[in-house]
Amino acid sequence: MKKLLTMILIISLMATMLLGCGREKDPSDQRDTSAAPPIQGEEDVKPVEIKQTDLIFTGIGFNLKDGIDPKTNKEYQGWETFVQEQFNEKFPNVNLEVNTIPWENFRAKLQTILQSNGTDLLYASGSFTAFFHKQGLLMGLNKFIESDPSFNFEDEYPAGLRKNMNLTDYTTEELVALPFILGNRIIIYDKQIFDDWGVEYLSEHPTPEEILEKASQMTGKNPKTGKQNYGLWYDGKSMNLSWFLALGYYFDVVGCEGTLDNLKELKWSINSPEVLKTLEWCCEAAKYCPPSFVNSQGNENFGTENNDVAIAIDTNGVKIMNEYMKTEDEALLDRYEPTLHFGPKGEGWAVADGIAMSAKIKEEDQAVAWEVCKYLAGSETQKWFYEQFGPSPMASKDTSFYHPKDKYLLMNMKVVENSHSGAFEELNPFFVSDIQPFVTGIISKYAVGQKIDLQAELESLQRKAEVWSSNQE
Amino acid sequence: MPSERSLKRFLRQNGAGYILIMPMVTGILVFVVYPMLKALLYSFQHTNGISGYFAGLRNYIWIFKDPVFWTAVFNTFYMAILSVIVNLVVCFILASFINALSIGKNLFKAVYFLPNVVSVIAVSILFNFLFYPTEAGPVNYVLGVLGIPAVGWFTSPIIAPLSIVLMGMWRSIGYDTIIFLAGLQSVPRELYEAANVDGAGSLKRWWHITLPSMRPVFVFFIIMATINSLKRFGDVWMIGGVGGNPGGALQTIVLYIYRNAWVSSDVGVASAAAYMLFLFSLMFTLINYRIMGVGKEN
Amino acid sequence: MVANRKRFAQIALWIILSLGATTMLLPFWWMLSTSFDQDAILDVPFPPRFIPGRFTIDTYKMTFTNVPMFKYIFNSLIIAAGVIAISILSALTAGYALSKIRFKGHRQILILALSTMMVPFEVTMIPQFFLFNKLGLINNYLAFYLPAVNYVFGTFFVKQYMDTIPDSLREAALIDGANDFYISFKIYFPLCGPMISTLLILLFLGSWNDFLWPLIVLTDANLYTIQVGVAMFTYNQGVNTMPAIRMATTMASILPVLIVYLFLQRYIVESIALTGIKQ
Repeated sequence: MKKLLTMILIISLMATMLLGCGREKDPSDQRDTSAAPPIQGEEDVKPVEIKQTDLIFTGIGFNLKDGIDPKTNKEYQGWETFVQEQFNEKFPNVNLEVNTIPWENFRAKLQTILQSNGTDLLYASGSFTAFFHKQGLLMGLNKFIESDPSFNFEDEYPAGLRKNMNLTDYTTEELVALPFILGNRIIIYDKQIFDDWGVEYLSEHPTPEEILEKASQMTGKNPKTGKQNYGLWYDGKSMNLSWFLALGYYFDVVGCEGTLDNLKELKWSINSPEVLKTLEWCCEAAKYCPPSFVNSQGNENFGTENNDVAIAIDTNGVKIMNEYMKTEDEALLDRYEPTLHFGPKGEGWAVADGIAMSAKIKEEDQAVAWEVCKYLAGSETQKWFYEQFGPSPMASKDTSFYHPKDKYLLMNMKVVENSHSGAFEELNPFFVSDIQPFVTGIISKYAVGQKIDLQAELESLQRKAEVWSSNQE
Repeated sequence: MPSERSLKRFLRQNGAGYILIMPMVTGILVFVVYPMLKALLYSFQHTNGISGYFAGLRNYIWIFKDPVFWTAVFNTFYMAILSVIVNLVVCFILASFINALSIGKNLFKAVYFLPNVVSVIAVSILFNFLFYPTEAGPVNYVLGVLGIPAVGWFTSPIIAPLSIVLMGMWRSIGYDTIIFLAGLQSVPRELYEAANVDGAGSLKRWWHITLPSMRPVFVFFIIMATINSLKRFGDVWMIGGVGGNPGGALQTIVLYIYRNAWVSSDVGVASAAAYMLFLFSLMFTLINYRIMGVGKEN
Repeated sequence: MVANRKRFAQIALWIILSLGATTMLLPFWWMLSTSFDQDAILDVPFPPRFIPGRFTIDTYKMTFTNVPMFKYIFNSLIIAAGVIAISILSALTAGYALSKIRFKGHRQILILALSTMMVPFEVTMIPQFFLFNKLGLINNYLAFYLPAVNYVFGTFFVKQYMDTIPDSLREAALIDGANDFYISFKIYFPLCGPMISTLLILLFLGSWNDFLWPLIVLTDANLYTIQVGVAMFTYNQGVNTMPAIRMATTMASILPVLIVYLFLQRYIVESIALTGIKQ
């Protein structure tokens, strides 16, 4: 026993010394780019003649290695394969290292990476992009666009995205990221459940009242199948409260006025009748949702044969399209119909994720980084991404690679087109730290039948917001 | 004035001691004492950890006025007290049963202890499905067979803390039982033998001898288990995210610290909350020392 | 008569305890069964079952192709090995110094050390993080190894254990001209075998299951421990979705400790009993 223990101690100590210390980079990650033989004779791949450059690209929740999609059981290519097989053909001289961070708390993680100069290019998600630019962490792209005659934003992406708050600095209109992928922001309803209950289909641009009224008629035992049905589903744990903000478009919610570079001067109106109306709608709607919606559950069967939810808000057609592509059976496509969102022009609160450049890229590497940035956010990469990871709404204007039957993605594009943003959303630190938990908290209490004085709660949140603002510098 | 010779003698007597204790003392200074002071400093600053400025008591005032903080304190203590009471009763009875066995003691110890080696993360992922809120959840299904409607284990703000306690109990039952078993086995034999002479029944013996002799073990257990539950993080993070969902019912003090420090980069507020956590656990530790009389021996 | 009653009581206890033990084991069985269940890949199957509806190993194939499980397990082992080695060495040397040398100030140091034990790690973690950040040691396992020297809990046990070994061994060796380094490493540490194995077990379980600190200091997915890796993979795909994949991943992550437990369960249980009660 004694000997054994001494051995274990010594071995573990040695292992530590040999392998543990200073593991900054896994040696296996430093691939020899010349090892992958360039495929000769492929048409229309013109290698860009640029100097030898090392760049790091950091993604969020990326699959780096090849894998299997559990939903479709299909194999997909990881980003590393993409770099080897496609990227390096185009940029033989660029050594692109792809890293990834998880979605959990990605904002703080991206910030740390940018501050420590840990990446050159990054996948920028949510509305923090502009914020990072303000902090001097991300590079403004206007100067590159102006001096690059080959690039025209409106040719590549829908013009409406040019001023999207996720991609553009809110005060200077400096573009910070090139759009890559759009958020899932459509309302889809299940015609079959409507038929079972004898309820008229949703209009093409439904109002919140219409949805509430129809949802209320379809909650209970389905008269045809006898199964428990729920009129509505939305994500009761949503981090960005997209449905709450879209309702805000409809109810004319202001919530907060001012600019986010001056937090001290923000004017809060959380206790306004408009916010109350919005919150009341959410609470009322909670009655028609499956109980587990407060934990982002309950919509597992939406988009399948066994669906029990009539209307889903801020969802996507991925499951339906996957199933359709497997079976070619159009019944499912006919059954699920997308509609416009709550906003006056049918808009929902949209996010676009994009590809951005770190402000710390060395002067001499910037031109190359811009080329790479364009390519990573360009339609070739988007096409690859679409093919590997399923029918998600890409930002490219070129939709030729979309499945021709995908009405959901086209509707999503419409919903996103007219979206707009203000100070009362994700970008606002108080929104993330307090308003989001407040709203989801109220809803989950309502969902189990607790009675709450909403106005009083809003008043106290208003006071807290004011104190918070005055504490800011 | 110490001569060179006496210095040499001092070093010969003590030098090796200082060198051998050096790693631990350095560790304490760098990883406990320095951070404690630094955290105190942070708690009086408006800071993101890298740059900041003096803010007086603002952070403390902020958390004292923040209902979320008090919800977190309430939830933490609520779950702590519940789990301590439930575990105390269940595990002590269990330990008494196992102790009374003539064969198979080790088998049951091993089985009951098994979940304890599984990480909190794994347990949370597992129970997220065992406690699935619809009839399809295994636990709800069993309840359904007994005619009880489906329970929203992790979806109802009222039930969620109880579910966390139940989940925690599954994991810690073996650990606590073993602590009690060790206590039971240290009750002096003579006491029982004396009772045997008096002709006391086994239940009576349990009541009059076992329970009183276990008093220090109970005290130790209650204090330690409370302090440990004050640090609840992994399970509530995995189940309810940084918001402590549902409805903030799973918001705990450490989650509040984590959220402020790493989600909204408000290190000042996080440090003030961390100091409150320190005060709470200090309170319990001092009670423990008082009752156990630790420190007197030195 | 009395003997009969005793036997009856024993049987009753056995039945009760077995029922309890079954309840303890059922979740494991459900996890195992679900991880092989094709019908549970997308959704929780109804009605719940304890035998796979359609048996599949695709779930494990997906787990191991989509998540670098071996790398994470390896990382966790590397971290555990270093933490164990450093903590035990620090505890042994400090415990020896406190117990045998009794240098000037040893009481004060013991009191200082014991009083730092009441400081929860959660209080010091923020400054620790920024300290390592400043040193450029984020995403570096030194962020685990360096704090490992602060192992007061172990030091205290080693000291208590050494107190039971006679001082005469040291005195005799000193007379022979040996110094304290030689004496501690050659004479006293080898006698601490049982204590070392106890600490080794506790440190391994603690390090393997640790979550908060690695969650904070590791942002590079290549360096994740198994706990953070599993948590992040789960988080990226959604905690509540795809039960069979979740269970396969979880199963793979707990397998190493389950195997260790299978072989060392008696030592582990004894270690807990020993250290838990005396603390």
